[in-house]
Order: sequence, then structure tokens, then C-alpha cells
Amino acid sequence: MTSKAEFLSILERIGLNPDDHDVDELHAAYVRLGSLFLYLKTEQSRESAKSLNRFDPREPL
Amino acid sequence: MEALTDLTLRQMSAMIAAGDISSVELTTAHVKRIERLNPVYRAFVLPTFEIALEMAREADEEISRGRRRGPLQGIPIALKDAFDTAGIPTTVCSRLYADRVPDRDAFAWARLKDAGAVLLGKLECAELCLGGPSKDSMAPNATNPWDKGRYAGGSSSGAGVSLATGMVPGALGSDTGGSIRIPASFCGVAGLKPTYGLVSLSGLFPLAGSLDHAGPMGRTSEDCALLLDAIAGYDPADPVCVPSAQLKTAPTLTEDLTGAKIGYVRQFAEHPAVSEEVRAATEQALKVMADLGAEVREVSMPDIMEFTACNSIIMMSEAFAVHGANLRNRASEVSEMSRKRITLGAFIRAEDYVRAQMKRRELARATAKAMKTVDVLVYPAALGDPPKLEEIEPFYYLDSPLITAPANVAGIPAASVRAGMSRAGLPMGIQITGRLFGDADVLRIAHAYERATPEFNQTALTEA
Repeated sequence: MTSKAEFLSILERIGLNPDDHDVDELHAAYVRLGSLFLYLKTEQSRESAKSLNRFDPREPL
Repeated sequence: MEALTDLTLRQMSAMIAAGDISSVELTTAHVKRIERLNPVYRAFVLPTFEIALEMAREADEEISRGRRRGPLQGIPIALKDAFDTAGIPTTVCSRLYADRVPDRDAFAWARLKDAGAVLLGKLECAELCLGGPSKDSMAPNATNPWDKGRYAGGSSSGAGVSLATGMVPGALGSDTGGSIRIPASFCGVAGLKPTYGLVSLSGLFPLAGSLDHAGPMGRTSEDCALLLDAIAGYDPADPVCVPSAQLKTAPTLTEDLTGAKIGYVRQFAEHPAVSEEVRAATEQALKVMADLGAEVREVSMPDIMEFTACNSIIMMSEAFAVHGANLRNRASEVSEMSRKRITLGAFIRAEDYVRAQMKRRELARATAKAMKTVDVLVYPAALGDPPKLEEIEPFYYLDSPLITAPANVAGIPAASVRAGMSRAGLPMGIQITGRLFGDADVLRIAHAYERATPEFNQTALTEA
């Protein structure tokens, strides 16, 4: 997990001004965000998944 | 509540058709009510009374000449302030867009206009359709008429509040993760998030384009059907809008559910975050539907947190794509709640966004599979009573189930309808979700349920 210092550096690299944000609160939320990623596991292979990096305008949702 | 503004949109429409009332009389009654109640409930951010009365006069004049446009002719409505209105400010309730005046109408509003509807004004919404409730937003939060200390739901809060207080009989809202259904549930009214692609998003201010939906809100599902029939239709300017025949859901409404197949998603209703009262109300609603002739069976769905994660990650990523420049250059003009929520989207890696989109396909397929043997699914519209305003934290959606998310993720239609009152005297809602383009099924079952439970058709306290 990204440390607060790394987090701050990402914030600046993105072009956001740390003074505009409560960095402690944002970093805590970022840590919580990590738990959501656990729910994204799929059975699809990232190398072969049909839906990855493909665009088919005829494909129904 | 005054008798006239207490009627449903359908009833008002019948009175106009019968010549019992003019559009000007109807519009004037609503104008008076808004003038009296809006200072307290703050549902309207921009009343357009002069425009409304002019449109009402035109409607009456057309009717007198025998030109009938359909059930919405002469009916006053209002729009969430995220729908573009040509020549009328559309600000998404944000200081960033305080001076924004579109030169074109949103497609959905243009369709309502063509149907003869009258614009009473623009409705409050959570800033940028994301930031509610916020103490420092440009527009104060609309007030929940059932309990002023509790959230009215968002982001289409003004729509929910204006309907619940009789300020308007029909409204348009938008829904990216529940923004029509949550305020409908918290305010005790009805709302429909249609199938993705059924209603054009042209001229709707984007939050997260792949999850955004425009849809109707009313005091009943029947009123939502009348509005949906007007706004659904192909728009070549919206690449995801589906070419389809003109939708007519209102004529299919019935009070008999014989033959309807309803799936109960027990795992959603029994999630530990859902209150016992809401679960009981959902199961009571299913009993009513069974008494009306429906066959109810249990249906299994993926974990609600998978839908929540998918919806939240896509929404935050896409929202930052829309507003990243604003946060870099004009952050001080964004309210605290929006600023926090949008900024977090900057930290979602492209890899995770793509994974979320992959997961979305998987969840959409699983949802379609779960619905193979049923017409609709039924589960709660909210976890419990509307939260107290001071208890809402900015990132609640990171670890709390978003029970409205499945319909956004899968793109399926979903209505929120009233399902009684909690012990605290606050409205509870259930969701009825259908298959892709099964919007008519959703509204048919919602309508039958509402007709069978007239005791739930209470209006909110309105003492100013």
C-alpha cells in the first residue's frame, strides 16, 4: 500500500495542490479504497479476455 | 395539502383532457405552492414562473384549437439542474458553472417540451451530481420533508423533495449509482432509472458517462410511465442511445399480476447493513405481489459488494476525468464533499479501471442469468432510514453496500416505490428491477403494487 509520502508525491505529480486537500483524510480514504479492489477479481484472463482492450460498437451492453 | 396539487400527474392530465381545469390554473396553483413552501424545503434553485405561465397559456390555446399532444400537455414539471435548458441557466448546483447558460435543450427536456409539458423550474441537486449533502455548496441542500435533520437522498434531492411536498407532479432526475432511487425512497415517492440507452444523455451534465442515466420521478409509478413514454426515443447524437420503437409503457399498466414471475434477492435484503424493518417491508411487499397473482421465487445474485466496488471505481474514475482540470485550477470553488470524492478518483490506476469494466461485464452476465426465469427482481431500495445529515461521511461508499448499484452496473431498469413507513415515521422503499429493456415490466409490477397498497400513498408534512 502506498505510504502517505508516496501518496503526496502522486498528488503533486497529478497536478493537484496539496493545500487544497485534507491529505490525511484523503490518504485514509485511499487505504480504504484498496479493499474495494479485492472485489474486482474475475474469472477472465487479462491476456485473453474478450472484453479487454477491445471496442465493438455493435456489442450490446 | 391543497386538493389540486395533491393529485397525481395522471389525475391532473385527465382533468385537463376533460376541460375541468386549464393549464394556467394548474400551473398557478403550483406556483403558489412553490412560493409558500420552497423557502423552507429549498427544492427549486431556479423557479421559471414566467416561462411556465407562458407555456401554460400556449398549451391552453392549443387545446382550445383542438390540437392535442398527449397526456403531458399543459402539465407542470421540473428538471434536476443537470439537464440543459436553452437560454436558462444550468449550473449542476456548482460555483464552477454558476454562469453557464446552455444554448440547446437536453434531449429529454426537448421531448417533454414537444409533449406540451410546462417548465416550473430547475431543481436542486447534489453539487455536480456527487457532492451531497454538503454544507458549503452553492445551493443549500433540499430539506427532507419527513424529518428536516435527515438527508433527502441524492443527487436528485430537489426532485424527491418537490414531489413529496406537492410542489410539482413530475420531474426528471439522473442516476449514476442510485441518484433517482435513493431520493425517491427517502422522500416517499416513485422513481425509475430506465434501461441504459433507452433515454438519451444528450444535454445531461455528465458525472460518469458509462453509468449515467436520465429518468422520471413522480408520486406514482404510473406518473413515471407517462414521463418515460415521452422522453424515451432514439437520439443519433448520443452514441449509446438505442434505436428502438417508440416506447409505450403507460397503456400496459394493470392491477393484476397473474402470470408475473418475481425473483426475491434474499441475500440483498438480509445483508447485515440492511435494517430489519426494511427487510420486513420488502418481504411484505412480496406477499402483496403474490396475492395479486405473481409467482415469487428466490433468486441468487453476485455479492452486493462486487456491484458496489465496480460502480464506485468506475464512477470515481470517470468523474475525475470530467473534473480533473477543475480540481487542478479551481479547487476552491468546489464544495468540500465533491472535492474529496472526485479527488479520490485520481488515485485509481488505469489498470483497475479496466478491471472494473471487465468485472462489470461479468456482473451484467450474471444478472441476466439470474433473471432468466423471472420478469423482475425485488429487493430494498435503501439500507434503512435516511441518515442524519451530520452522520454522513464523504467516503461511505468505500465499505458500505450500495444497494442501488446493481442496476447501474448491469444497465437494467430499476424503480423505487413506497413500501410503508418505518417506526421513526420515515418512508421506506423497495426496488423492482427488470431485464434490459424490460422497463414496462418494472412499471407494471410497481403500479399494481402501489394500487394494492393505497395506505402507503401518504404525502409528506408540508407545514411551512
